[in-house]
Amino acid sequence: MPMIEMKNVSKWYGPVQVLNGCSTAVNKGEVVVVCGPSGSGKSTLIKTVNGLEPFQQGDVVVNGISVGDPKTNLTRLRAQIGMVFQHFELFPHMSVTDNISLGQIRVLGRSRDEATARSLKLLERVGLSQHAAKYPGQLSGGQQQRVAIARALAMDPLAMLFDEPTSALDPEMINEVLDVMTELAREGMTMMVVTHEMGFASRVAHRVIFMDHGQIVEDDKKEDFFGTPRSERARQFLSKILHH
Amino acid sequence: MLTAFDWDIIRRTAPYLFREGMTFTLTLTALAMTGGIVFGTLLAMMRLASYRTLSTAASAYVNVMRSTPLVLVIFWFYFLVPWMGGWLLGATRPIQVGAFLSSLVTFMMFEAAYYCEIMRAGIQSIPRGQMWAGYALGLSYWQTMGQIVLPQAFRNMLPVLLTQTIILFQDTSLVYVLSITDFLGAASKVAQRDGRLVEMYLFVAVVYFAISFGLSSLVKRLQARLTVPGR
Amino acid sequence: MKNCRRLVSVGLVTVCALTLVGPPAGAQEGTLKKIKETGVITLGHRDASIPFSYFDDKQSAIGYAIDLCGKIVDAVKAELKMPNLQVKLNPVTSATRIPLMANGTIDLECGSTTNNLERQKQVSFTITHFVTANRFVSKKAANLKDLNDLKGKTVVSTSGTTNIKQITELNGQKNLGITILPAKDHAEAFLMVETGRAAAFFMDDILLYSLVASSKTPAEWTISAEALSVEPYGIMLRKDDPSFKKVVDGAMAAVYKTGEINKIYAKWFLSPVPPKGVNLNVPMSDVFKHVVAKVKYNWNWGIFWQLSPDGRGTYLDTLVAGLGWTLATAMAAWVIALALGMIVGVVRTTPTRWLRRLGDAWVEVFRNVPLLVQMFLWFFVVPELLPASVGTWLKQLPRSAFYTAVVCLGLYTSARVAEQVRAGIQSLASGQRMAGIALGLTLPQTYRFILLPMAIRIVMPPLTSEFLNVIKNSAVALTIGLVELTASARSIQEFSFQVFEAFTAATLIYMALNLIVVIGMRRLERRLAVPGLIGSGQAMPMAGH
Ligand SMILES: Nc1ncnc2c1ncn2[C@@H]1O[C@H](COP(=O)(O)OP(=O)(O)O)[C@@H](O)[C@H]1O
Ligand SMILES: [Mg+2]
Repeated sequence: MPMIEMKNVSKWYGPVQVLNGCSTAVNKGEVVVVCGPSGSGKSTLIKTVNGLEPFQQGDVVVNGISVGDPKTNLTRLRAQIGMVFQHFELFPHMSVTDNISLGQIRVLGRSRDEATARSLKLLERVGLSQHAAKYPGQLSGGQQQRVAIARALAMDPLAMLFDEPTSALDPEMINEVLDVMTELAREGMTMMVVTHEMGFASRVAHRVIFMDHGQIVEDDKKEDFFGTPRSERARQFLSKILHH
Repeated sequence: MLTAFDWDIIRRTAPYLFREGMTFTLTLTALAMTGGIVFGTLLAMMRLASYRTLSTAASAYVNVMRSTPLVLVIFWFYFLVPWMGGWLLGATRPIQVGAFLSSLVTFMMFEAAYYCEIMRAGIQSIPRGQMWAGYALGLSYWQTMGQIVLPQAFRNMLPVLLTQTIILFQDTSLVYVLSITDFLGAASKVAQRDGRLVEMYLFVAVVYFAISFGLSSLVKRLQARLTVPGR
Repeated sequence: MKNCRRLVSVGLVTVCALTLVGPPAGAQEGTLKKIKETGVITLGHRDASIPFSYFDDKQSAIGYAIDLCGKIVDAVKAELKMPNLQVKLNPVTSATRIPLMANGTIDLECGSTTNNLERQKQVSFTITHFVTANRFVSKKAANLKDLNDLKGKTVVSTSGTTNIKQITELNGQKNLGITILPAKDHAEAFLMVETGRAAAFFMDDILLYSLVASSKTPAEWTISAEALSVEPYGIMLRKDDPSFKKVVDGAMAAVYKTGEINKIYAKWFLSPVPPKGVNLNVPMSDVFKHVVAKVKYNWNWGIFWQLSPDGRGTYLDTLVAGLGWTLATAMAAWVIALALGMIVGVVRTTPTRWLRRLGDAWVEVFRNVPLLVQMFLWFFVVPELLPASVGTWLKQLPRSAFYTAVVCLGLYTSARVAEQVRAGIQSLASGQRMAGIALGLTLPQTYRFILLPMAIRIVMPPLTSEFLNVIKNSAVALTIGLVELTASARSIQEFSFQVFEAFTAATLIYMALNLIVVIGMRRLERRLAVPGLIGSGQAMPMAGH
């Protein structure tokens, strides 16, 4: 059974269709990169996985649980899926440690001490131990994104979703984030990553999904995608991204 | 219980309410708005002027007005305007000033403080480069202000200026404390004469609501139009 | 200074220019016009208000107020150039005087009518011609000095008067345990003290003097030094008639300035008066002397240390009491406004559509009706729409003006707070909400731990100005009779005629309040400031006060 399975997912904003019959599956331990032009629906697609974006047709099944089923407790499901956003979305009024502890305490019901200990351990893992008491506004973009990853990991997620985690970062900070993600992939985390970092994709991903106009145009093994993409649109996209 | 009410009184007195009261309210609003914006813009330019005395005086005026309740300001001017008038006309005794003129001066001077702050933000929102471009063309300070900066500031701030005017429209009801026959004053006269407080005050509330709500919906639409992409 | 003067000129020139297109200045109108057209001026008088206005044994109206009205009539004759103006006399009672004035039967009411805020809503008064106070008369032998001496005793007052209302209120407030008997008229009340059924009789002191003077044994009686309140008497005229009022006020002022008032006063209060030839022997009170002196404007900053006529301290105490009511009203209203405003503001950002609509409607209703009209709705209309028993209870509630003002201001401000809270929450990028939800927090948890803590910091500056607005807006409550700061300044002005001193003091207090709140809130903001975040100043000013 795949960890994440999408079956024919379609979504409309009013009359505008933004997802059009998207189907794919991500197995346990698999890393899948999603790419495509801006506005093609990548963020929308990835957010259907934890029900942040409702959809009108099809279904998404995560670890055997249907996201589309109105009886599903989405809150409980979301706690099991980590998510990292383009703009970090750390909570600016809480210290770094409290950012990581919040979910542990309020959702998982851990004690404050237990949560803090765990948070500090995760901070060490992303290389930010000495910043534990600081506030998000006092960190660089790269550091903030690493805290955001730690915050997601603190919930012991079954899978992690990344929505363009590096595109708001200055170039010199991109690698510090990608390194943490690569490490995570090595440890066998199931990951869906929206990114234009093709270097990361070719090093870490198992599969690459290419989207355009709300449709999944390509869903290939990494080697096939970078070797011989089948569609013209994917080829154009790749050449634009790789040669500038 | 509702049978005890006489709703027909509204139909009977509406011509009086609108002809006497609403005319007063609207005239006062329109004139106080015009005067207030003119005076407020002058104040804003003073606040932004580089002469310390000028900007301090303007700030002091604005701060005093903004920290005093309108009711108190109305009382103040009710007593002050005759003295001010006498002083300006060189007379030794206070002059006789009618209720309309007195309330007009009050609202002009009071609202000017609020219009001033809006216009100040408007002027500050225009990049300094516009001023320099004007000077570079050989325009004087007043020409640059009048032809380049103020028109843009005014346009940017139009929705806020209009919203402030709707507030002014509602505020004019406070001339009640001077027993002036504005819309509310006219209604309360009828209400007290005939003992029809419920009917008259409810009617007044409905009319004020309809006008203010209608106007603010228009302002919202205007605002949406002014913020079209590319501007 | 010069700049300032120029500035004012600019303003005034604009005004003058604007008035050209305004309504035309009225010629003669109102009462003057009516008198001119009919050739008659009608004076209302009382039948037994000794020595103000009463019938003598020949059934003609005489009295102190009648003499003063004579002076006014002379001024009207001169103003209209009608030396043969006919003067008609029309008797009035406590109950009929205001309606007869309103319907045009009488043009002036020459009697002993208390000038108070309630009545000013219906009629106008000229300069005070007498100041009386609510005091009590008792037997000298009983040795009763003040209210405390009356604890647990039985007192009497005339029913339907402001005097009995006041003693009843005080009795409740101070928990004095006094038993208060209502009497049907003054004579009956006095008799009850005389016969020992009551220890004291509460009434306007001038009436008490007259009762004592005409009693069998005037020397046995004493009138308390302590006054529960002050009642300025004024000659009534119709409201909203500035041209007539000007003539009337002018005539009174002339009588005061020339000192003629002293003669007229002595004639009625310091000499035997008809019909019985009793001498009331009431010298001019300090308060009234003050009224007379202040008709001509004299600066007097020492006014605040002078005793106010309510007998409860100096004018400064009056101001402080007003400030107290302003603060009490503003703070109580603020609590309501914050609580409701937060809820409504949050509701307007939730995903549930009907809740959002409800929140929007709330805000629109309270924002689009003038505060004064809302005040009247709560005060005059709401009690009528409730079941009769509840409505009556509300109207008779002690301090009903205060409670009304708190509710009205609280709800009015809640709409404004809600608008700020909504804007604050919406100014947080929607990503914050998503991040909270994605962590597995419920929607309420997301609001509680993530959205609200930040939103509150963002709305702190606009909320500060809303709080300042509540303080300022509380002044509107003077229209329903709450004697807050502005109203107390106005009452000082009315009693002492020190307009500029009274209003300056109030203005300074408001400015000080403003400053204190701003400084306090800045401190709070700094304490709540999030490290690493620059305080995001509001770029666009909001329209408002
Ligand atoms: N709240 C919304 N309302 C209407 N259209 C939206 C909304 N959010 C996104 N869209 C549209 O949906 C499409 C897909 O958006 P998105 O998933 O963010 O694309 P990507 O992440 O690939 O850039 C875009 O055309 C976008 O304009
Ligand atoms: Mg996107």
